[in-house]
Order: sequence, then structure tokens, then C-alpha cells
Amino acid sequence: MNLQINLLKKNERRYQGIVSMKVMVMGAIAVFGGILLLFFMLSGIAKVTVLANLDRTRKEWILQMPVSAIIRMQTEAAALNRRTSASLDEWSERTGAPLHKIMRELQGSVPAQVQLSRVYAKIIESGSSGQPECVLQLSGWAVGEGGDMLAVEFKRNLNNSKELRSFCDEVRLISSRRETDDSWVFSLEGKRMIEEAP
Amino acid sequence: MNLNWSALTKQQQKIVIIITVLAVLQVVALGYFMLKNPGKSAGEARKELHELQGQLSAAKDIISRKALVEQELQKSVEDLEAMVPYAPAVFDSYAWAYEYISRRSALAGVMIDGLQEEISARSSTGNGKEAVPYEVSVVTRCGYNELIRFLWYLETGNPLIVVKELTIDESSDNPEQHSVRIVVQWPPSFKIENVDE
Repeated sequence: MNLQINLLKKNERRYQGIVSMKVMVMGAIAVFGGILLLFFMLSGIAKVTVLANLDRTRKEWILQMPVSAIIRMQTEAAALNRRTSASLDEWSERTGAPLHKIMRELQGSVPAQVQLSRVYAKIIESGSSGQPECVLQLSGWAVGEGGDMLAVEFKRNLNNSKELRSFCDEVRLISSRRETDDSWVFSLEGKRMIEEAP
Repeated sequence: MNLNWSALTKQQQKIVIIITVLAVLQVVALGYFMLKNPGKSAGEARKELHELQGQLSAAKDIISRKALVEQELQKSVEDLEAMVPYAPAVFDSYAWAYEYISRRSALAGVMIDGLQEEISARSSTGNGKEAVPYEVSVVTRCGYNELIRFLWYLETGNPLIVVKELTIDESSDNPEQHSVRIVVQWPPSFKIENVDE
């Protein structure tokens, strides 16, 4: 029987593996610390990169912002000018047709036996509907045979005119009465609402 | 765990020192980054960067259209400037309108009996801030054909003029001549927008 006596003190005990236990623990701590350090380093690098990009972007923004602001103002100015031009075009086209053309058409539409006593054409800013209107009012008399129907013929002639219709839509016979044996007094009227741009 | 320094080998001691140094460096680096931007975390910085990049991208998009916008503005200014001679002068509108109408009536062979400024209903009842059209009434006596010629000269000579009202009454003393009243109107004064670089 062999007897082996362990004479080593407690702190003199050795781990029998290749690497001691203490080194393993320290290594584990070092790895943990290293990973933590790496994490913080990477976070730091990422933050530094973001801050550098932010700084560069800010500098670029300072340069580009005034230029873009001017172009934005130019865009708005061009839009305002276009709106003004459109409103001017709309302004001069309100009557649908120039009045000299309407008067020319009127002249050509009057039957030979009809004489006008009053011609009244107007743009009313606020008509019966509250909207601007173009109004044409005609008064006159018709003489001779079949004079009672001349006002109707006149009205038909007027309504056949494209220019007149564009000014006052359809002309209507408002009144007609016998003045003497062979003369009739009549009045005609046409109205068109001017549509305002939204 | 009780670590006995003297019990470690030289190599182990070196490792412990290196780890300690690295740990200290780690704390210092962390502190440095924390102190450098105390008010702004990486997240906030990234958010600001993202917003700024969006704005910058929009700005670059606008800048890329610079030539086109300048061209459009130039054209719109030119279009409106071309209309300026046809609008009544701001300083003395009546004299301007008088000259225009008189010249046109002379071309048409129509004698003008009276020409006066009309006070627009909107300008008298409004708060004074609303831009109102400029109106002038013309009174004359002429034949129907001369009237058509006069209207033609008036309307074709100025793209902004509008004959707002026309009244033709028969004349008892001369059937060839009619009493005519014409109200012509110009649009409210307009502003030309321009932006210089």
C-alpha cells in the first residue's frame, strides 16, 4: 500500500490544466471587456461619422438654402404673373365678342321694315343672379304689312348670329303692341351670365 | 474572488495590466464621446441629419430647375410688361384715356361731345383697398357706321379695353345721327412680380 501525503499549502495548489483557472477568468473578463470596448468604439465611430456628416450637410445647406429660396420665390412670382396674365385675358373676353362685331351683326339682322329707337348693351357687375351679366336690350317699331311678325323675325335673325349669342345668349321678345294701324312697338332682350373663374 | 497578485506569474500580471489599461481607455473614450456632445445623442443627430438631407435633396431638386424657372419668370414678366402700355397711367389716368379715345375717334371720324371719368360703384362703397377698374364715359352723336368704326378702333387698339356699356338712342332732329353713350373700362392696375438674384 502506497501512501501519498499532500504537503502543498492551500494557496500553492496548482490547476493541472494547460492554462490556470485564474488566467481563464481573467481572459474571460478581458474578452468581455474587449467586446464592450469594441461596442463603444464602434458606437463612437458611428456617432463621429454621423456628426461629421451632419456638419458637412449643414455647411452644404447653408450654401444651397439661399439659392433654393430665391428659386422658390421666382417660381411663386412666375405663378403670380401667370395668374395676372390669365385674369387680364379673362377680363377682355368677358363680353364673349367685341362690341363692334355685335353692332355689325345687329345691323345685318334688322329687317327692312323695322326701325330701332334704342339699343342698350351693358355688362352689369351684379345682375339678378348676383353674378356679372351681359345684357342687350333693343326697342323699336315695325311698320307695314305683317308688322306684327317682324319683331319675331328680327329675334330669329339675332338668335342665328353666333357673335350675338356669345354676348347675350338667346334674345327674347319682351313686349309687342300695336301703336297705329300698321305699326307695332316691340322690345327684345337677351342676357348672359358671365362665369367667373374659380 | 480573491486575487493574489504575488501568486500570478509575470505573464498573468501583464495580462491583468493590459486589461486594466484597456478598461480605463474604454471609460475615457466613453466619457470623451459623452462629453463632446452632451446635448445630442447619436439618435438625435441621425434624425437631424435625415431631416436636413431631405431638405437638402428638395433644395437641390429646386436648384436643378433654376434655368427653367428663370426662363418662365422672364417670359411672364415680358408678357405683363407688354401689357403695361395698354393700361391707364397711374398718375393721370384721365389724360391717358382722353388721349387714347380722342385719337381713336379722330381715326373713325367721330366727334366727341363729352368724356368723363366714371366713379365705379365698387370704389365708392368699398373699403378703398379693393382694386377697381378704371372707367370713362364718352358721349357723342354719330351715324351707325361711324359708331361701328369707332368701336372697332377702340377695341382693336387696346387689348385691355372693354366696352362696358353702349346706349344708342334715336335722334328726333336728324335720323342719320344717333345719341351715343359709351362706357369703356380698363382692368384694375396690375403688379408685375420679379425676383432678382
